[in-house]
Amino acid sequence: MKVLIVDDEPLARSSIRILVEQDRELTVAGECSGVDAERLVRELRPDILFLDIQMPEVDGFEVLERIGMNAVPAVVFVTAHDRYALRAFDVAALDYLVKPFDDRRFFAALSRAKEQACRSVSVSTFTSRFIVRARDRVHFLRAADIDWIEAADYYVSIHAGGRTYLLRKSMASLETELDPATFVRAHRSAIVNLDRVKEMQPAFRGESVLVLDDGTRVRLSRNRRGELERRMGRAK
Amino acid sequence: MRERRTPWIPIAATWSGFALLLASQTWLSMITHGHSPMRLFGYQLAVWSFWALMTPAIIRLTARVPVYPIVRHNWLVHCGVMLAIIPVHIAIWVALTIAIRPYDAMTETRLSPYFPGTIIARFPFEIVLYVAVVATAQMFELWSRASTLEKALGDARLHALEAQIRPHFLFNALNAASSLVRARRNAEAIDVIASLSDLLRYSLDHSGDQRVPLEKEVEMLERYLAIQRIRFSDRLEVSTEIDEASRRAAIPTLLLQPLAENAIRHGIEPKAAPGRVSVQARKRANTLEIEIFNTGALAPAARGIGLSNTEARLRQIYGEAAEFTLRESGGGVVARIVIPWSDAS
Repeated sequence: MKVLIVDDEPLARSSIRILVEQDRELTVAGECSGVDAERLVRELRPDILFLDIQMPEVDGFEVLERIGMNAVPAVVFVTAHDRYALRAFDVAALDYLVKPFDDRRFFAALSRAKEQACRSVSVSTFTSRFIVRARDRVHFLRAADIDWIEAADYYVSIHAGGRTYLLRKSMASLETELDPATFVRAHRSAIVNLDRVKEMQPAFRGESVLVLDDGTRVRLSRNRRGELERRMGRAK
Repeated sequence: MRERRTPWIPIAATWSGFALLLASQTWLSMITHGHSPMRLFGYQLAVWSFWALMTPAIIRLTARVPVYPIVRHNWLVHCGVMLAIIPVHIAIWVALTIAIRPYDAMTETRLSPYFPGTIIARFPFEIVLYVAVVATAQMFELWSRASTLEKALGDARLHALEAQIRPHFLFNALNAASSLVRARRNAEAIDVIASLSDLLRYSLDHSGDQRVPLEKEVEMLERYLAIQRIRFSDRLEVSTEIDEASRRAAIPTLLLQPLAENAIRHGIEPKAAPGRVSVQARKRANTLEIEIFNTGALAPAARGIGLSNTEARLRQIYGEAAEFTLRESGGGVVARIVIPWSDAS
Protein backbone atom coordinates (compact mmCIF):
# COMPACT_ATOMS: atom_id res chain seq x y z
CA MET A 1 0.00 0.00 0.00
CA LYS A 2 1.14 3.47 -0.82
CA VAL A 3 1.17 6.29 1.69
CA LEU A 4 1.30 10.03 1.01
CA ILE A 5 2.27 12.39 3.83
CA VAL A 6 1.01 15.96 3.59
CA ASP A 7 2.35 18.44 6.15
CA ASP A 8 4.09 21.78 5.79
CA GLU A 9 6.74 21.08 8.43
CA PRO A 10 9.55 18.78 7.24
CA LEU A 11 10.14 17.61 10.79
CA ALA A 12 6.53 16.56 11.24
CA ARG A 13 6.63 14.70 7.92
CA SER A 14 9.79 12.84 8.91
CA SER A 15 8.12 11.78 12.15
CA ILE A 16 5.26 10.13 10.26
CA ARG A 17 7.62 8.69 7.63
CA ILE A 18 9.74 6.99 10.30
CA LEU A 19 6.65 5.34 11.78
CA VAL A 20 5.11 4.31 8.44
CA GLU A 21 8.38 2.76 7.29
CA GLN A 22 8.26 0.37 10.25
CA ASP A 23 5.34 -1.37 8.54
CA ARG A 24 6.54 -3.68 5.76
CA GLU A 25 3.21 -3.64 3.97
CA LEU A 26 3.50 0.09 3.42
CA THR A 27 5.68 2.33 1.33
CA VAL A 28 5.91 6.08 1.57
CA ALA A 29 5.17 7.11 -1.99
CA GLY A 30 5.84 10.76 -1.30
CA GLU A 31 5.53 13.72 1.00
CA CYS A 32 4.66 17.34 0.37
CA SER A 33 2.98 20.46 1.67
CA GLY A 34 -0.65 21.42 1.02
CA VAL A 35 0.14 23.34 -2.14
CA ASP A 36 1.40 20.24 -3.99
CA ALA A 37 -0.98 17.75 -2.44
CA GLU A 38 -3.62 17.75 -5.19
CA ARG A 39 -1.03 17.05 -7.90
CA LEU A 40 0.71 14.28 -5.91
CA VAL A 41 -2.55 12.54 -5.04
CA ARG A 42 -3.44 12.36 -8.74
CA GLU A 43 0.07 11.22 -9.73
CA LEU A 44 0.76 8.70 -6.97
CA ARG A 45 -2.79 7.42 -6.25
CA PRO A 46 -1.99 6.69 -2.57
CA ASP A 47 -4.06 4.23 -0.54
CA ILE A 48 -3.57 6.11 2.71
CA LEU A 49 -3.22 9.85 3.11
CA PHE A 50 -1.83 11.53 6.24
CA LEU A 51 -3.21 15.02 6.06
CA ASP A 52 -2.18 17.92 8.28
CA ILE A 53 -4.86 20.55 8.81
CA GLN A 54 -2.94 23.78 9.47
CA MET A 55 -0.83 24.42 6.39
CA PRO A 56 0.00 27.63 4.57
CA GLU A 57 -2.01 28.68 1.51
CA VAL A 58 -3.79 25.35 0.99
CA ASP A 59 -4.87 23.78 4.27
CA GLY A 60 -5.96 20.19 4.85
CA PHE A 61 -9.66 20.82 4.31
CA GLU A 62 -8.97 22.61 1.06
CA VAL A 63 -6.82 19.71 -0.14
CA LEU A 64 -9.81 17.42 0.43
CA GLU A 65 -12.20 19.85 -1.24
CA ARG A 66 -9.98 19.85 -4.30
CA ILE A 67 -9.37 16.12 -4.58
CA GLY A 68 -12.80 15.08 -3.29
CA MET A 69 -13.42 12.99 -0.22
CA ASN A 70 -13.34 9.74 -2.21
CA ALA A 71 -10.07 10.27 -4.09
CA VAL A 72 -8.12 8.42 -1.41
CA PRO A 73 -9.44 5.24 0.25
CA ALA A 74 -8.28 6.21 3.75
CA VAL A 75 -7.46 9.61 5.21
CA VAL A 76 -5.91 10.14 8.64
CA PHE A 77 -6.15 13.77 9.73
CA VAL A 78 -3.27 15.16 11.72
CA THR A 79 -3.70 18.34 13.69
CA ALA A 80 -2.26 20.36 16.53
CA HIS A 81 -4.66 22.09 18.87
CA ASP A 82 -7.54 23.11 16.64
CA ARG A 83 -10.92 23.00 18.35
CA TYR A 84 -12.95 23.51 15.20
CA ALA A 85 -11.22 20.78 13.26
CA LEU A 86 -11.42 18.33 16.17
CA ARG A 87 -15.13 18.97 16.62
CA ALA A 88 -15.75 18.40 12.92
CA PHE A 89 -13.86 15.09 13.00
CA ASP A 90 -15.75 13.96 16.07
CA VAL A 91 -19.12 14.82 14.55
CA ALA A 92 -18.29 12.98 11.34
CA ALA A 93 -16.59 10.09 13.20
CA LEU A 94 -13.39 10.49 11.18
CA ASP A 95 -10.02 9.26 12.35
CA TYR A 96 -7.47 11.81 13.45
CA LEU A 97 -4.20 12.20 15.31
CA VAL A 98 -3.43 15.10 17.60
CA LYS A 99 0.19 16.27 17.55
CA PRO A 100 2.31 15.22 19.32
CA PHE A 101 1.12 11.60 19.21
CA ASP A 102 2.74 8.50 20.68
CA ASP A 103 3.52 5.32 18.73
CA ARG A 104 0.58 3.43 20.16
CA ARG A 105 -1.95 5.98 18.96
CA PHE A 106 -0.25 6.28 15.61
CA PHE A 107 -0.29 2.57 14.89
CA ALA A 108 -3.89 2.26 16.07
CA ALA A 109 -4.92 4.93 13.56
CA LEU A 110 -2.71 3.38 10.91
CA SER A 111 -4.20 -0.08 11.29
CA ARG A 112 -7.73 1.33 11.03
CA ALA A 113 -6.66 3.21 7.90
CA LYS A 114 -5.21 0.01 6.40
CA GLU A 115 -8.43 -1.88 7.07
CA GLN A 116 -10.43 0.88 5.50
CA ALA A 117 -8.13 0.98 2.46
CA CYS A 118 -8.51 -2.81 2.05
CA ARG A 119 -12.28 -2.68 2.31
CA SER A 120 -12.73 -0.02 -0.33
CA VAL A 121 -11.00 -1.78 -3.22
CA SER A 122 -13.86 -0.81 -5.43
CA VAL A 123 -13.77 2.89 -4.83
CA SER A 124 -17.07 4.55 -5.44
CA THR A 125 -16.74 7.31 -7.98
CA PHE A 126 -19.33 9.36 -6.16
CA THR A 127 -18.59 11.59 -3.23
CA SER A 128 -20.10 10.29 -0.03
CA ARG A 129 -19.27 13.43 1.92
CA PHE A 130 -18.81 17.10 1.25
CA ILE A 131 -16.65 19.44 3.24
CA VAL A 132 -18.53 22.62 3.97
CA ARG A 133 -16.79 25.46 5.72
CA ALA A 134 -18.45 28.30 7.54
CA ARG A 135 -16.47 31.14 9.12
CA ASP A 136 -15.23 29.19 12.11
CA ARG A 137 -16.66 25.78 11.54
CA VAL A 138 -16.22 22.73 9.36
CA HIS A 139 -18.94 20.25 8.44
CA PHE A 140 -18.53 16.91 6.78
CA LEU A 141 -21.88 16.69 5.09
CA ARG A 142 -23.10 13.22 4.10
CA ALA A 143 -24.46 13.06 0.57
CA ALA A 144 -27.39 11.00 1.87
CA ASP A 145 -28.34 13.83 4.23
CA ILE A 146 -28.79 16.33 1.41
CA ASP A 147 -32.43 17.21 0.66
CA TRP A 148 -31.92 19.36 -2.39
CA ILE A 149 -29.41 21.71 -3.93
CA GLU A 150 -29.96 25.04 -5.60
CA ALA A 151 -27.61 27.20 -7.66
CA ALA A 152 -26.70 30.59 -6.17
CA ASP A 153 -24.39 32.66 -8.38
CA TYR A 154 -20.91 31.15 -8.12
CA TYR A 155 -22.00 28.91 -5.30
CA VAL A 156 -24.50 26.19 -4.70
CA SER A 157 -26.60 26.15 -1.58
CA ILE A 158 -27.10 22.73 -0.14
CA HIS A 159 -30.26 22.19 1.89
CA ALA A 160 -29.91 19.43 4.44
CA GLY A 161 -32.02 18.76 7.49
CA GLY A 162 -33.46 22.28 7.65
CA ARG A 163 -30.06 23.98 7.31
CA THR A 164 -28.40 25.59 4.34
CA TYR A 165 -24.72 25.22 3.48
CA LEU A 166 -22.84 27.18 0.83
CA LEU A 167 -20.35 25.35 -1.32
CA ARG A 168 -18.11 27.00 -3.89
CA LYS A 169 -18.79 24.70 -6.82
CA SER A 170 -20.73 24.81 -10.06
CA MET A 171 -23.93 22.81 -10.47
CA ALA A 172 -22.38 20.91 -13.35
CA SER A 173 -19.32 19.74 -11.41
CA LEU A 174 -21.37 18.92 -8.34
CA GLU A 175 -23.74 16.81 -10.42
CA THR A 176 -20.87 14.59 -11.59
CA GLU A 177 -19.91 13.93 -7.98
CA LEU A 178 -23.38 12.81 -6.96
CA ASP A 179 -24.82 9.37 -7.46
CA PRO A 180 -27.36 9.68 -10.34
CA ALA A 181 -29.42 6.88 -8.80
CA THR A 182 -30.31 9.27 -5.97
CA PHE A 183 -29.76 12.80 -7.23
CA VAL A 184 -31.61 14.21 -10.23
CA ARG A 185 -31.79 17.64 -11.83
CA ALA A 186 -35.27 19.10 -11.48
CA HIS A 187 -34.48 22.16 -13.55
CA ARG A 188 -31.48 24.20 -14.63
CA SER A 189 -30.64 25.36 -11.12
CA ALA A 190 -31.93 22.62 -8.80
CA ILE A 191 -30.94 19.07 -7.94
CA VAL A 192 -33.18 16.98 -5.69
CA ASN A 193 -32.55 13.88 -3.64
CA LEU A 194 -35.12 11.36 -4.91
CA ASP A 195 -35.39 9.82 -1.44
CA ARG A 196 -36.89 13.09 -0.22
CA VAL A 197 -39.56 13.49 -2.91
CA LYS A 198 -42.99 12.99 -1.40
CA GLU A 199 -45.27 13.89 -4.29
CA MET A 200 -45.45 15.42 -7.71
CA GLN A 201 -48.15 17.99 -8.48
CA PRO A 202 -49.08 19.28 -11.91
CA ALA A 203 -48.46 22.96 -12.63
CA PHE A 204 -48.76 25.33 -15.62
CA ARG A 205 -47.74 24.50 -19.17
CA GLY A 206 -46.86 20.89 -18.61
CA GLU A 207 -44.51 21.69 -15.76
CA SER A 208 -44.86 20.09 -12.36
CA VAL A 209 -43.87 20.77 -8.79
CA LEU A 210 -42.02 18.32 -6.56
CA VAL A 211 -43.00 18.37 -2.91
CA LEU A 212 -40.27 17.20 -0.55
CA ASP A 213 -40.70 15.57 2.86
CA ASP A 214 -40.17 18.88 4.64
CA GLY A 215 -42.77 20.63 2.48
CA THR A 216 -40.31 22.40 0.18
CA ARG A 217 -41.68 22.84 -3.34
CA VAL A 218 -39.21 22.53 -6.20
CA ARG A 219 -40.22 23.26 -9.81
CA LEU A 220 -39.74 20.33 -12.21
CA SER A 221 -39.22 21.41 -15.83
CA ARG A 222 -41.12 19.62 -18.60
CA ASN A 223 -38.10 18.11 -20.32
CA ARG A 224 -36.71 16.59 -17.14
CA ARG A 225 -39.92 15.01 -15.97
CA GLY A 226 -39.52 11.83 -18.01
CA GLU A 227 -35.99 11.27 -16.74
CA LEU A 228 -37.08 11.74 -13.15
CA GLU A 229 -40.02 9.37 -13.44
CA ARG A 230 -37.81 6.77 -15.07
CA ARG A 231 -35.32 6.95 -12.23
CA MET A 232 -37.98 6.82 -9.63
CA GLY A 233 -39.04 3.62 -11.39
CA ARG A 234 -42.71 4.40 -11.59
CA ALA A 235 -43.37 5.86 -15.02
CA LYS A 236 -47.06 6.50 -15.38
CA MET B 1 -24.51 39.51 46.34
CA ARG B 2 -23.44 35.89 46.23
CA GLU B 3 -26.15 33.44 47.11
CA ARG B 4 -24.91 30.89 49.61
CA ARG B 5 -26.71 28.05 51.27
CA THR B 6 -27.52 28.52 54.93
CA PRO B 7 -25.25 26.29 57.04
CA TRP B 8 -28.14 24.93 59.12
CA ILE B 9 -26.33 21.91 60.52
CA PRO B 10 -23.34 23.75 62.07
CA ILE B 11 -25.70 26.43 63.43
CA ALA B 12 -28.04 23.88 65.04
CA ALA B 13 -25.08 21.93 66.44
CA THR B 14 -23.46 25.03 67.92
CA TRP B 15 -26.61 26.22 69.69
CA SER B 16 -27.54 22.71 70.92
CA GLY B 17 -24.04 22.41 72.33
CA PHE B 18 -24.47 25.77 73.99
CA ALA B 19 -27.79 24.65 75.50
CA LEU B 20 -26.25 21.39 76.71
CA LEU B 21 -23.37 23.29 78.30
CA LEU B 22 -25.67 25.66 80.22
CA ALA B 23 -28.01 22.83 81.27
CA SER B 24 -25.21 20.63 82.58
CA GLN B 25 -23.63 23.60 84.34
CA THR B 26 -26.86 24.39 86.17
CA TRP B 27 -27.44 20.76 86.99
CA LEU B 28 -23.91 20.26 88.38
CA SER B 29 -23.81 23.46 90.39
CA MET B 30 -27.15 22.61 91.94
CA ILE B 31 -26.67 18.87 92.02
CA THR B 32 -27.90 18.71 95.60
CA HIS B 33 -31.22 20.25 94.50
CA GLY B 34 -31.86 17.21 92.32
CA HIS B 35 -33.23 18.99 89.23
CA SER B 36 -34.22 16.87 86.28
CA PRO B 37 -31.33 17.05 83.78
CA MET B 38 -33.65 16.28 80.84
CA ARG B 39 -35.98 19.06 81.73
CA LEU B 40 -33.07 21.46 82.15
CA PHE B 41 -31.71 20.55 78.74
CA GLY B 42 -35.11 20.79 77.07
CA TYR B 43 -35.61 24.19 78.64
CA GLN B 44 -32.23 25.50 77.44
CA LEU B 45 -32.84 24.05 73.99
CA ALA B 46 -36.15 25.89 73.78
CA VAL B 47 -34.53 29.13 74.99
CA TRP B 48 -31.61 29.02 72.51
CA SER B 49 -33.57 27.81 69.51
CA PHE B 50 -34.57 31.44 69.05
CA TRP B 51 -30.91 32.37 68.60
CA ALA B 52 -30.38 29.43 66.28
CA LEU B 53 -33.24 30.73 64.13
CA MET B 54 -31.88 34.29 64.20
CA THR B 55 -28.29 33.27 63.31
CA PRO B 56 -28.80 32.84 59.52
CA ALA B 57 -30.48 36.25 59.39
CA ILE B 58 -27.55 37.80 61.25
CA ILE B 59 -25.10 36.06 58.89
CA ARG B 60 -26.97 37.47 55.89
CA LEU B 61 -27.09 40.91 57.46
CA THR B 62 -23.33 40.81 58.13
CA ALA B 63 -22.63 39.84 54.54
CA ARG B 64 -24.63 42.83 53.33
CA VAL B 65 -23.69 45.26 56.14
CA PRO B 66 -20.15 44.27 57.19
CA VAL B 67 -18.73 45.42 60.52
CA TYR B 68 -15.21 45.30 59.15
CA PRO B 69 -13.74 47.50 57.75
CA ILE B 70 -15.32 49.79 60.34
CA VAL B 71 -18.06 52.04 58.97
CA ARG B 72 -20.14 54.04 61.47
CA HIS B 73 -23.41 53.53 59.65
CA ASN B 74 -22.97 49.74 59.60
CA TRP B 75 -22.20 49.60 63.30
CA LEU B 76 -25.32 51.64 64.04
CA VAL B 77 -27.41 49.22 61.96
CA HIS B 78 -26.05 46.28 63.96
CA CYS B 79 -26.67 48.06 67.27
CA GLY B 80 -30.26 48.69 66.20
CA VAL B 81 -30.82 45.08 65.21
CA MET B 82 -29.22 43.87 68.42
CA LEU B 83 -31.42 46.12 70.54
CA ALA B 84 -34.48 44.82 68.70
CA ILE B 85 -33.57 41.14 69.10
CA ILE B 86 -32.50 41.11 72.73
CA PRO B 87 -35.79 42.24 74.37
CA VAL B 88 -37.70 39.77 72.21
CA HIS B 89 -35.45 36.95 73.35
CA ILE B 90 -35.66 38.04 76.98
CA ALA B 91 -39.45 38.03 76.72
CA ILE B 92 -39.36 34.50 75.27
CA TRP B 93 -36.95 33.45 78.00
CA VAL B 94 -39.25 34.78 80.71
CA ALA B 95 -42.24 33.07 79.17
CA LEU B 96 -40.41 29.73 78.86
CA THR B 97 -39.06 29.98 82.42
CA ILE B 98 -42.57 30.44 83.78
CA ALA B 99 -44.03 27.72 81.58
CA ILE B 100 -41.38 25.03 82.09
CA ARG B 101 -40.25 25.88 85.63
CA PRO B 102 -36.88 24.14 85.13
CA TYR B 103 -35.63 24.82 88.62
CA ASP B 104 -38.79 23.43 90.22
CA ALA B 105 -39.60 25.38 93.33
CA MET B 106 -36.48 27.53 93.00
CA THR B 107 -37.76 29.06 89.75
CA GLU B 108 -38.49 32.69 90.15
CA THR B 109 -41.96 33.77 89.25
CA ARG B 110 -43.58 36.99 88.26
CA LEU B 111 -44.14 37.61 91.96
CA SER B 112 -40.51 37.40 93.01
CA PRO B 113 -38.98 40.73 94.04
CA TYR B 114 -35.72 39.78 92.24
CA PHE B 115 -37.33 39.27 88.88
CA PRO B 116 -36.70 42.73 87.31
CA GLY B 117 -33.06 42.50 88.38
CA THR B 118 -32.62 39.19 86.61
CA ILE B 119 -33.98 40.67 83.40
CA ILE B 120 -31.48 43.53 83.49
CA ALA B 121 -28.62 41.17 84.38
CA ARG B 122 -29.51 39.21 81.28
CA PHE B 123 -28.70 42.10 78.89
CA PRO B 124 -24.84 42.01 78.86
CA PHE B 125 -24.92 38.26 78.30
CA GLU B 126 -27.17 38.64 75.25
CA ILE B 127 -25.00 41.47 73.89
CA VAL B 128 -21.93 39.23 74.11
CA LEU B 129 -23.82 36.55 72.16
CA TYR B 130 -24.83 38.96 69.39
CA VAL B 131 -21.25 40.21 69.08
CA ALA B 132 -19.95 36.64 68.93
CA VAL B 133 -22.36 35.70 66.14
CA VAL B 134 -21.54 38.81 64.09
CA ALA B 135 -17.79 38.37 64.61
CA THR B 136 -17.93 34.74 63.49
CA ALA B 137 -20.06 35.60 60.45
CA GLN B 138 -17.72 38.44 59.54
CA MET B 139 -14.70 36.20 59.85
CA PHE B 140 -16.14 33.58 57.50
CA GLU B 141 -17.24 36.29 55.10
CA LEU B 142 -13.76 37.83 54.90
CA TRP B 143 -12.19 34.43 54.59
CA SER B 144 -14.37 33.30 51.69
CA ARG B 145 -13.96 36.65 49.96
CA ALA B 146 -10.18 36.37 50.24
CA SER B 147 -10.16 32.93 48.66
CA THR B 148 -12.45 34.08 45.82
CA LEU B 149 -10.18 37.04 45.22
CA GLU B 150 -7.13 34.85 45.25
CA LYS B 151 -8.68 32.57 42.64
CA ALA B 152 -9.57 35.53 40.41
CA LEU B 153 -6.04 36.81 40.70
CA GLY B 154 -4.63 33.41 39.78
CA ASP B 155 -6.94 33.24 36.76
CA ALA B 156 -5.82 36.68 35.64
CA ARG B 157 -2.19 35.65 35.89
CA LEU B 158 -2.80 32.49 33.95
CA HIS B 159 -4.68 34.44 31.34
CA ALA B 160 -1.78 36.83 31.01
CA LEU B 161 0.53 33.90 30.47
CA GLU B 162 -1.79 32.47 27.86
CA ALA B 163 -1.82 35.76 26.00
CA GLN B 164 1.94 35.80 25.97
CA ILE B 165 2.74 32.16 25.24
CA ARG B 166 -0.05 30.73 23.16
CA PRO B 167 -1.06 27.08 23.61
CA HIS B 168 -0.60 26.70 19.87
CA PHE B 169 3.11 27.41 20.26
CA LEU B 170 3.43 25.03 23.22
CA PHE B 171 1.91 22.13 21.30
CA ASN B 172 4.00 22.83 18.24
CA ALA B 173 7.18 22.96 20.29
CA LEU B 174 6.30 19.66 21.99
CA ASN B 175 5.54 18.13 18.64
CA ALA B 176 8.89 19.32 17.27
CA ALA B 177 10.66 17.79 20.29
CA SER B 178 8.88 14.44 19.87
CA SER B 179 9.59 14.40 16.12
CA LEU B 180 13.28 15.02 16.79
CA VAL B 181 13.37 12.15 19.28
CA ARG B 182 11.67 9.87 16.77
CA ALA B 183 14.30 10.82 14.19
CA ARG B 184 16.99 10.16 16.84
CA ARG B 185 18.20 13.76 16.64
CA ASN B 186 18.55 13.75 20.40
CA ALA B 187 20.82 16.76 20.89
CA GLU B 188 18.39 18.96 19.00
CA ALA B 189 15.46 17.49 20.90
CA ILE B 190 17.14 18.40 24.18
CA ASP B 191 17.75 21.92 22.87
CA VAL B 192 14.04 22.33 22.17
CA ILE B 193 13.02 20.98 25.57
CA ALA B 194 15.58 23.11 27.41
CA SER B 195 14.62 26.24 25.47
CA LEU B 196 10.96 25.62 26.12
CA SER B 197 11.65 25.14 29.84
CA ASP B 198 13.62 28.40 29.94
CA LEU B 199 10.75 30.21 28.27
CA LEU B 200 8.15 28.80 30.61
CA ARG B 201 10.26 29.53 33.66
CA TYR B 202 10.87 33.06 32.45
CA SER B 203 7.20 33.76 31.91
CA LEU B 204 6.12 32.16 35.19
CA ASP B 205 8.81 33.93 37.24
CA HIS B 206 8.18 37.33 35.75
CA SER B 207 4.49 37.96 36.06
CA GLY B 208 3.18 41.50 36.32
CA ASP B 209 5.20 44.50 35.39
CA GLN B 210 8.67 43.61 36.45
CA ARG B 211 11.47 44.99 34.33
CA VAL B 212 14.53 43.17 33.14
CA PRO B 213 17.62 44.20 31.18
CA LEU B 214 17.00 44.08 27.43
CA GLU B 215 19.82 41.56 27.23
CA LYS B 216 17.78 39.05 29.23
CA GLU B 217 14.62 39.65 27.24
CA VAL B 218 16.51 39.22 23.96
CA GLU B 219 18.07 36.01 25.21
CA MET B 220 14.58 34.60 25.82
CA LEU B 221 13.41 35.88 22.45
CA GLU B 222 16.26 34.03 20.80
CA ARG B 223 15.20 30.83 22.59
CA TYR B 224 11.70 31.32 21.26
CA LEU B 225 12.91 31.96 17.72
CA ALA B 226 15.27 28.96 17.89
CA ILE B 227 12.30 26.66 18.51
CA GLN B 228 10.41 28.22 15.64
CA ARG B 229 13.49 27.81 13.40
CA ILE B 230 13.47 24.06 14.07
CA ARG B 231 9.78 23.85 13.16
CA PHE B 232 9.91 25.87 9.97
CA SER B 233 13.53 25.04 9.01
CA ASP B 234 14.17 26.65 5.61
CA ARG B 235 11.00 28.69 5.71
CA LEU B 236 12.17 30.94 8.53
CA GLU B 237 15.23 33.12 8.58
CA VAL B 238 15.96 34.95 11.82
CA SER B 239 18.31 37.80 12.60
CA THR B 240 18.82 39.94 15.68
CA GLU B 241 20.73 43.19 15.80
CA ILE B 242 21.01 44.60 19.30
CA ASP B 243 23.31 47.57 19.72
CA GLU B 244 25.75 47.25 22.61
CA ALA B 245 24.54 50.32 24.52
CA SER B 246 20.92 49.18 24.48
CA ARG B 247 21.64 45.86 26.21
CA ARG B 248 21.40 47.29 29.72
CA ALA B 249 18.12 49.12 29.10
CA ALA B 250 15.28 48.18 31.45
CA ILE B 251 12.23 46.83 29.66
CA PRO B 252 9.03 45.09 30.83
CA THR B 253 9.32 41.33 30.69
CA LEU B 254 7.78 39.39 27.83
CA LEU B 255 7.26 42.52 25.79
CA LEU B 256 9.03 41.24 22.69
CA GLN B 257 7.97 37.60 22.57
CA PRO B 258 4.29 38.27 21.74
CA LEU B 259 5.41 40.59 18.94
CA ALA B 260 7.71 37.92 17.54
CA GLU B 261 4.88 35.42 17.83
CA ASN B 262 2.65 37.78 15.91
CA ALA B 263 5.34 38.26 13.24
CA ILE B 264 5.58 34.49 12.74
CA ARG B 265 1.84 33.98 12.79
CA HIS B 266 1.16 36.55 10.10
CA GLY B 267 4.46 36.60 8.20
CA ILE B 268 5.70 33.01 8.17
CA GLU B 269 2.94 30.53 9.02
CA PRO B 270 0.49 31.42 6.22
CA LYS B 271 3.16 31.47 3.48
CA ALA B 272 4.64 28.50 1.69
CA ALA B 273 7.62 30.59 0.55
CA PRO B 274 10.50 31.35 2.93
CA GLY B 275 10.30 34.51 5.03
CA ARG B 276 12.35 36.50 7.48
CA VAL B 277 11.89 37.82 11.02
CA SER B 278 14.41 40.33 12.33
CA VAL B 279 14.73 42.15 15.63
CA GLN B 280 16.62 45.39 16.09
CA ALA B 281 17.19 47.43 19.22
CA ARG B 282 19.13 50.64 19.75
CA LYS B 283 19.57 53.46 22.20
CA ARG B 284 18.61 56.81 20.76
CA ALA B 285 18.91 59.92 22.94
CA ASN B 286 16.74 59.24 25.99
CA THR B 287 14.78 56.40 24.47
CA LEU B 288 15.06 52.74 23.63
CA GLU B 289 13.88 51.83 20.13
CA ILE B 290 12.92 48.28 19.23
CA GLU B 291 11.76 47.11 15.81
CA ILE B 292 10.45 43.68 14.92
CA PHE B 293 10.22 43.06 11.20
CA ASN B 294 8.57 40.25 9.27
CA THR B 295 8.18 39.69 5.54
CA GLY B 296 4.62 39.83 4.24
CA ALA B 297 1.81 42.34 4.08
CA LEU B 298 -0.16 44.00 6.83
CA ALA B 299 -3.43 42.17 7.26
CA PRO B 300 -6.39 44.39 8.11
CA ALA B 301 -7.17 42.30 11.19
CA ALA B 302 -3.54 41.83 12.25
CA ARG B 303 -4.08 43.27 15.72
CA GLY B 304 -4.59 40.12 17.69
CA ILE B 305 -4.60 39.59 21.44
CA GLY B 306 -0.82 39.95 21.50
CA LEU B 307 -0.78 43.44 20.08
CA SER B 308 -3.65 44.92 22.06
CA ASN B 309 -2.00 43.45 25.14
CA THR B 310 1.29 45.11 24.23
CA GLU B 311 -0.40 48.47 23.72
CA ALA B 312 -2.28 48.21 27.00
CA ARG B 313 0.84 47.26 28.95
CA LEU B 314 2.90 50.07 27.50
CA ARG B 315 0.19 52.60 28.27
CA GLN B 316 -0.16 51.29 31.81
CA ILE B 317 3.58 51.43 32.50
CA TYR B 318 4.69 54.51 30.57
CA GLY B 319 1.47 56.46 29.94
CA GLU B 320 1.85 58.75 26.96
CA ALA B 321 5.64 58.47 26.99
CA ALA B 322 5.72 55.17 25.09
CA GLU B 323 5.06 54.75 21.39
CA PHE B 324 3.82 51.68 19.56
CA THR B 325 3.21 51.46 15.82
CA LEU B 326 2.61 48.73 13.28
CA ARG B 327 3.18 49.63 9.63
CA GLU B 328 4.30 48.28 6.27
CA SER B 329 7.88 49.01 5.36
CA GLY B 330 10.64 47.52 3.21
CA GLY B 331 8.62 44.62 1.83
CA GLY B 332 7.24 43.59 5.19
CA VAL B 333 5.62 44.67 8.42
CA VAL B 334 7.43 46.51 11.22
CA ALA B 335 6.24 46.63 14.82
CA ARG B 336 8.04 49.53 16.49
CA ILE B 337 8.26 50.30 20.19
CA VAL B 338 9.85 53.41 21.65
CA ILE B 339 10.06 53.63 25.44
CA PRO B 340 11.76 56.14 27.75
CA TRP B 341 15.30 55.07 28.57
CA SER B 342 16.08 53.72 31.99
CA ASP B 343 19.06 51.69 33.13
CA ALA B 344 18.49 48.23 34.50
CA SER B 345 20.28 48.12 37.81
